[in-house]
Amino acid sequence: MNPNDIDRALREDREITPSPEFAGRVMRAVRQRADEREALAFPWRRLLPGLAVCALLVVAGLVVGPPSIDSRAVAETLNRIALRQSAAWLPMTLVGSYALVWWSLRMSGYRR
Amino acid sequence: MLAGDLTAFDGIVRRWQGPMVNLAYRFCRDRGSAEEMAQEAFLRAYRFLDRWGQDSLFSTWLFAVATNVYRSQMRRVRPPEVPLETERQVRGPGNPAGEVETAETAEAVRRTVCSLPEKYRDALVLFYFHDMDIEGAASCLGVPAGTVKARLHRGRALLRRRLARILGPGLSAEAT
Repeated sequence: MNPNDIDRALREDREITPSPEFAGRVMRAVRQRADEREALAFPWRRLLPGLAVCALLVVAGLVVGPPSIDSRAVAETLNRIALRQSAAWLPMTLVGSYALVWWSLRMSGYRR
Repeated sequence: MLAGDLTAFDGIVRRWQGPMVNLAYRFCRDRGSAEEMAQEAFLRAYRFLDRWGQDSLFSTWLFAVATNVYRSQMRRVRPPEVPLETERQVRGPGNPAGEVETAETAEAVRRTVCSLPEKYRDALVLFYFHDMDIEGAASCLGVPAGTVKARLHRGRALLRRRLARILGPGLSAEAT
């Protein structure tokens, strides 16, 4: 087999005919694809400010370094506040949870 | 013009189904897979129809889209194997080397092309699919014509070496 034979073998490849139902099958798939709703794009524009703030805080934290806090004193203070204002924790938690849910729904573009 | 127009796209599918399936077949050498690959290519074409700049021929754009689809699909599957019967038949005593080219040996050549490294396989497949038009192959691959020429040259050399190994040393004498 010389180069010309190879050339001929490749040039004279046999033609195949698509099956009769091929075009119909393709169009069914195209229609199905056309009917599908476009997937929601991820809300990067809404997320980016938050990410930027987080990044800034991390950088600031790295630059400034950890504060010298007496952890036992902080824990005692928090404990005292918690005991004194125990009634206030419940509504605060509820409001906080509601705020988080509201903010998440807003971020995902949810509309009732 | 056509984006979203299903009736017009139906016309495109009917007009181009033959070439699209045949191009896919030259990559995979299997009719069923060729139709699946061509269907995927049509779906991709429909999705990105608005990206067709009308400064180029529609067929050029369509084949470029199809080539991309076929190349990425071929990365996920094994290349077609060269049938052993071909080897036996060509090496047999009643079949002097280099004289008789049967349909099986021609098919073995085509299958060997499919087993070449991607860039040589693509250049060879598209060059012969476009009736030996380098510009046509280059526009499908999105590379300059000079690159296609170089790939064709190296691809043919590699193909001859592989064929010599597959079809027997007697056949390699003329091929080199």
